[in-house]
Parts: sequence; structure tokens; C-alpha cells
Amino acid sequence: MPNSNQQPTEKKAVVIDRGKGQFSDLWKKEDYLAIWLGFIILIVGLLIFIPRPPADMEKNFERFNAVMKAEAGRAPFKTIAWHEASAAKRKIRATNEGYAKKIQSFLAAPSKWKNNPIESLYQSKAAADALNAKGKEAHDKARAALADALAAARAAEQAAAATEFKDGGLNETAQSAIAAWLKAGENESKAKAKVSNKAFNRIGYLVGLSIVLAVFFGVGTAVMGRPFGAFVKGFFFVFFLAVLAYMAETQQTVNYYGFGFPLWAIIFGMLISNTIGTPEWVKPAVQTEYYIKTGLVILGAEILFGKMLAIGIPGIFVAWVVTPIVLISTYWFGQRVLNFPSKTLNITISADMSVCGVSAAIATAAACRAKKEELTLAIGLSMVFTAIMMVAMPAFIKLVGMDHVLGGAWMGGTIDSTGAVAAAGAFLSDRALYVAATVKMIQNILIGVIAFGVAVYWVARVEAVAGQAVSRMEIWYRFPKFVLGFIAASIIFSLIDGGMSKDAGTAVLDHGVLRGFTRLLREWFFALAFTSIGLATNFRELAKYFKGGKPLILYVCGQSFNLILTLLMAYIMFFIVFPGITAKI
Amino acid sequence: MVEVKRTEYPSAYSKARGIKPWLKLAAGVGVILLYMYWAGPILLKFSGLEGLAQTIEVENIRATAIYYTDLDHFARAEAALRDHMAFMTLNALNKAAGKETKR
Repeated sequence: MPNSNQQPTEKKAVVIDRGKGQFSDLWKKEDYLAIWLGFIILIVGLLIFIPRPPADMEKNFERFNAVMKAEAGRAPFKTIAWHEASAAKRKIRATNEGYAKKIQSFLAAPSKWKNNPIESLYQSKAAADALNAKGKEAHDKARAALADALAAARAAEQAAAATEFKDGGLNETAQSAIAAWLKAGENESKAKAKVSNKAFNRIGYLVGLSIVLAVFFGVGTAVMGRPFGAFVKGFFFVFFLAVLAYMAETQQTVNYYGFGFPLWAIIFGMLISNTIGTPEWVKPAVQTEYYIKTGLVILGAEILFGKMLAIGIPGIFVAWVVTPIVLISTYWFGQRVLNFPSKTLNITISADMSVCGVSAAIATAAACRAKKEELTLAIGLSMVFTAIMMVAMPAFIKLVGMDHVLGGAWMGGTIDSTGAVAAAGAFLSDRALYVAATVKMIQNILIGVIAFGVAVYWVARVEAVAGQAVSRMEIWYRFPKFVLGFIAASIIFSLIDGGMSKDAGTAVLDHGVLRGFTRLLREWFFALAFTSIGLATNFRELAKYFKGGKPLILYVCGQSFNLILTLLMAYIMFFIVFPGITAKI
Repeated sequence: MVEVKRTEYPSAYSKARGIKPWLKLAAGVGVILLYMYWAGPILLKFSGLEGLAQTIEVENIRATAIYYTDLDHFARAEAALRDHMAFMTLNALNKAAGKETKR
């Protein structure tokens, strides 16, 4: 996306980047400013959440962990008390605190809706009460079923305990009864959600948020030496389209297909720019790189390396061995076999297909400075194939009777979109969901390394003149600096996370600073970035990038290789190398 | 020594005039609405997506999520696996080690 912040130039005009740096770059260049703005948000998040953990957090964690330890020593399976302690632990989250709920209300995107788009912004008390009344009967039934299941599970567990858990048959009966109780608990929880509707009005919050973000980015724009007023004036239009993109995503049918706000933001932006034209007064706020780089610095904080180590060795092999092999092979195939016209398009498609879809495409495209049309094309391809794969893969796994642990790992490693992985995993079973989610999560964490590697490779090799050595200073000048902010955020937050106990890190950092604050802002920044891409993209130019169908061929070939290699590696890891772990999942 | 030349293509900042661009915009909006209210739901029935759609609805999954922090299901999976590893697996390993020692 080079120079997307600049005003449109004449056809065939050439932009030349020279490897030199000035001290004023620290506040005049978007790369640096994105780091400062991103870190302001991260620091604010830390200052809000770290001093305000849930009451008696550590004491409660100790208490619940002691129960789980004792129960694990007492019985050869997870007892009722074990599950109750585990569930109680999961409820200890900073996001459940009153102040955090207010922050989330302010930053929240429009809600789900089916027929009337206003439902995503406003719900009256009468409407909420009507929904609650509709779900009451089902909730009452689910609650009664849960009480029955708990009684049955208690009786079965007591029978097993009476033999000191030495009777295999009684143990199995108890485990089945406990599993049924857990299932009943899930059903009750889902039924409860349907009677917990509350009245809301997001319009005021969205107006407030648009003002806060306009000032936030406007000040940054002024620091870079551009007019504050002109930016703010156009910003509200870009924000309005971003809200529409969110509303399109939250429509029930659209959610089923997995078509997210990035796609809709581009579509709505392009619809405006290719029909009536992007208004002159909006142009100063069409700042793709500015928004995307700030969002990426914030995303860096969500890359917590400790999580990867905590959640399973087989998954690490599947995600971290296969993914780089597929990425490099696909890129090589594109360059050498398909003779791809654009290296940046090639690597963006290769990354979004092999790593984790949209988020990987954003990070890679920004790291190699791909054009906005190239990012658009990569995301479009990824979303279409995600919709196909999230239906086809679980269907195939069911058809051939594949083990759900293997199937989950296969889907987690190959379906691009993170949300679609959860949907496809849940469609199969809880086991498949857990394994798919774990593999995808480890793959998500890989985007930091991929973005850094691509940025270094691009400045040191791809953009270098053939046969000429590139000096270290030259590499430094040309290196996209925001990537450093992205990596720094990841390292700093990983260290903070590592410095806390695992439970406390999850409760305050993951379910506080990140999920309760920075994640919500990161999504808005990406929505603004994709709207900007749409508002500056010419449909005819986009079509040129697709000429000859090479992007499609690259995606299909790369994904086919990914499917084969991931399945093979998952089988080796989960069934040959670590069968003990697989049996216990 | 390193100069990178990038060709900039014309952007979409067209200066359209008259009623035609507005009609095109209306047509575009119409296509989107047609997909949301008619073609999308119909295609659901014939594409095999209906069962998956039901799971998405019942499990309240945001199928459009782009990162693991966007979905609570990932947090649940992580917590379940972490607790399992920390207590159940460790306990099993300790018991196995104890048996080895006795032998």
C-alpha cells in the first residue's frame, strides 16, 4: 500500500523511495507515528486494567487450583468439583468488572440483527422483554434438565468414589454422567443468554467514539504537518462507512457465510468511489496506512508467546512447521512456475492462505508495502475460499469418519479465517473445536514472525538492486518501522504476561487490557483502513491484478499443498509421536 | 543506492456527474440487499451450509472473527487445555513416576 496517504497522482506517475532518514521522521512519518499512537493506547489499557484486578483474584485462583489439584489426585477423571472449580476460575476476568463493561459498551461494534438493521443499534425495553419472554420456557426446561443431570452425575461419581475409583465400569459411568451434566450446563447457558436481553442504544456511543477517534487521529495528522480540520471533517464519513461495514457483518445470514467487516468496508468504499466518486472533503481522511499500521502495532500486543507454549506440543508442530513450509513453497511456486507479475501480491496471497487469512494478509501486505488493490484481492480470495472450506471440510471429515482430533488439527491449520475455524470445529464436536482452536491460535501467533521476516527479506533482497550489496544502514532506512512497534508490543506484552501467574495473566491482561480494550480499538482501526482502501480503489485497476487468473491458481495450488501437508503432519504428531496427549483430549 | 520505482495507478477518485452514478450506486446497494434478504438465505439451503449455520447460531460464534482474541471459544479451549495439562496430565505423570520408583 505505498503512498496511499498521498493524494491521487496521474496515471503512470512514479514514486521514488530513497533510503535516507531524518530526525523529524519520528513524528512526521506514519510508520513512527503509528508506533507512538499504538503505544499510547496500549499504555492507557495497562493503566486502566492492571491496577484494577477482580476482587480477591489471587486468593480465589489459589482456592480453585487447590480444589483441582486435590480432585486430580483423588480421581482418575475430572470430577464435578474439578469442573466447578475450572468454571469458577474462567469467570474471574477483568472484563466482567463494572468499569470494564462501560468501556466495552463505548467501544462496541453494532450488534447482531436479522431483518431490521436498526436492531443492531437500538433495542427498546419492550423488545428486550419480548425476546426474554420468548426464551423463558426453553430456559426453564434447560434449567430443570441441568438440575437432573447434576443429580445423576453426583450419584454416579459417589458410586465410583465408594470403590475408591478402582472399578473401571463405575468410573466410565461417572464420566459419561459428568459429560452429560456439562452438556446440560452448556445448553442452560445458551438458553440463559436468550433470556438475558437488555435494552440498548448504541447511537450515542458511536457518535462519542467517532469524536474520540477523530481527535486521536486528527492530532496525529496535525503532528505530521497536515491540516487537522480537513482530516476531522472527512473522518466522520469514513467512520460512518465503517459502521455500515460492521452492520453488514453482523447481519445473521452474512455471519453464516463468514464475510467480515473488512470485505464489506472495501465493498462499501468501492461502491462510493466507483459510482458517485469519493467526495473531495473526504479525501484527507482516506488514510489507509495510518489506520492499518496503528492497528497492527496494537495487534502486536495480542501475540502472546506464552500462550503458545502452554497449549500443546503437537499443535506447535502442525502450525509452526507446516505453515512456513507452505508459505515459502507457495511464494516460490508463484515466482518460478506461475511467473507472477507482482512479488508483493504473491507473498500477500501466500501469507493469507498459509497463515491465518485477513490478519496475516494485513500484516504481510503492510510489511512488504503491497498495493491496496493487492491486499483487497488477497482478502477477497481468502473470504470466498474460507466460506467454501468451512462447509466442505467438516462434511468431508464426517463422511470419511476421520478422528475429530485429527480433523480439528487439519481444519485449524488450513481454514484461513479464525472465526470460520471455530464454526467448523464446533460443527463437528467439542474435541474438534478445542484442537482446531488451539492450532489456529498458535498459527495466529506466527504472524509476528512472518511480518518481521517478510519486512527484512523485502528490504534486504527484493528491493535491492541486483548484484549490489545492501548496507545495514540502508536496510534500517528502508525497513518499515511500524513492524518494530508491532514486534516490540508483542515482546513487552509477552514479558508482562510471563511475569504474572498464568491465571492472573489470563484474567487481567488477556481478558482485560486486550479483549476488553485494545482489541476493540484495533478492529475499528482496521475497519477504517479497509473503508479507506475501498474509497481509493478503482474497480478497473483491481480487475487488472486478476488478469489471467494467476492469483486464483496460486491460491488453489498453495491451499491444496497446505491441505496435504497439514493432514500428514497432524497425523504424525497426534497419532504417532504424541498419541498419549491425543487420547486425553 | 537503492531506488525503488513504483507505478501509481489512477485511483478511484472519479468526479462523476449526473444521475447515472447515483443509479449505479442504488443498483449496488440493491445487489447487497438482495444477497442479504433473498439470495443468501436461499443459497444456505442448497449449499449444505444450513447445519453449520445452525451451529453458528446456537454456539453464538462470530464466524467472521479475524484473530483468536475476537472469539471467546478460543479462550475456553485454551483454559480447558491449560487446566488439563496443569493438573490432570501432571498428576498422571507423577503417578507413573511414583510407580517406576516403587519398582
